[in-house]
Amino acid sequence: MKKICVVLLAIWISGCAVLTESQVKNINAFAATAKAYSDFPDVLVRKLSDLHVKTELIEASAHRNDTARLNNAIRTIQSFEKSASSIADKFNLSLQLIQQYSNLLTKLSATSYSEDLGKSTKALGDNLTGLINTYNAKVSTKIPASVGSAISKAVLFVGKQLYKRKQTKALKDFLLAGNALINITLNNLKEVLDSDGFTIAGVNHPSMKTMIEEERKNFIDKYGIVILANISTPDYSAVKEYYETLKEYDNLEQARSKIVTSLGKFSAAYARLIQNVSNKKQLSDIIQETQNFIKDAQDVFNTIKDLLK
Amino acid sequence: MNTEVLNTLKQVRQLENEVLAKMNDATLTDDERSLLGSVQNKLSEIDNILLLDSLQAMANKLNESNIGLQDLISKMQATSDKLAQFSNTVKKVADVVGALTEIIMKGASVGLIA
Repeated sequence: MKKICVVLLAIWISGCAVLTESQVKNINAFAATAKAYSDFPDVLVRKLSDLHVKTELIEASAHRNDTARLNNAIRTIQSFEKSASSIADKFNLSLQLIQQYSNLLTKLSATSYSEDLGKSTKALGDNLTGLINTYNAKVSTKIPASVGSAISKAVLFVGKQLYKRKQTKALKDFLLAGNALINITLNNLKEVLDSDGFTIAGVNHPSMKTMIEEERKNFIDKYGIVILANISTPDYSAVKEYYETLKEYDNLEQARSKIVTSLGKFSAAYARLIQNVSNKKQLSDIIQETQNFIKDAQDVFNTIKDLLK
Repeated sequence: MNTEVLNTLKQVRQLENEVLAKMNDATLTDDERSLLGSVQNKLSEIDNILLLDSLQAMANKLNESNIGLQDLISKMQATSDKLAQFSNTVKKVADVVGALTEIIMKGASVGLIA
């Protein structure tokens, strides 16, 4: 009767499906991707602002012999720089939150808690075995030496299964809860950085891609009117400045494109994670999970069986 | 897609170009140059406001889901703490029983416990 009770208890505890090793690995792989992600969009705002300031300074240089207008222009540029920097600081918030989310997924999927349980219950088992040996030295009816090991294994098995059950539920709940939020955030990032335009509060705004193109055009126009139109003799410095600034715009556009590509990979990693965790229909996963459970349960059962002989 | 904001920005910049081109005229009087300079200052301010407005709109769009994400993260942290507590409780049970058996074992070995 006691044998049946132990096995039934073990089966009941493990009745709720737990995450497989491959699913836990998927979570950790996604979290590692998120943690290593370093292509943040604020660099685009900062660089675009720097290039805009360059264009503004070109315009300011048109105020020849007019100190008052020149000082006004400088003040306007300084005000712009301050505001742009403040806006740039806000560009990374959502990605940083996604990184925090993925760090917590890693923490919640860690095996270290159940491993620690193993260490504690091993020590318990060793102590119990020592006690039994001491007792048996004094009495004629001996207690089986393996009873200490049996008790520690039972504690470990039950503790581990209960823990894994709680862990699985928590992970699934949070993955489902995070799915919509993260997809919205990643879609918004793509829209802001890579589309023709986006809408917020009913107003259409240009995307970062469009703004880089527009700023580049604006620089070409202003440089042509203020600098190149006023050169009467060949001016190497002026041409070099023009060339190098256009190169900076090209680099900025490449950086934008790289960030969009890496966001795409990030989105794909997340989609794989959600699909893998919510789809527990793969036979190989179910078989592996069942085999792990059977092995653990059998180990405890065998030890107790010997004890009850 | 030419948005309203972008169209306005383009118009402002077109005007800036015309003003700057006029400022190249060497025959301008000081007063005329000063007037054009004032117009250029104002257009530059408007240009900056429109650009900043677009950048702010981008930031706002990116941060639309932040409150939901922060709320979710708080819940995850609380759950993580609870799981750690559960694990600690099981460990304490094992540790306490282990310590007890050690005491009993030592007592038995020196004859304090029969």
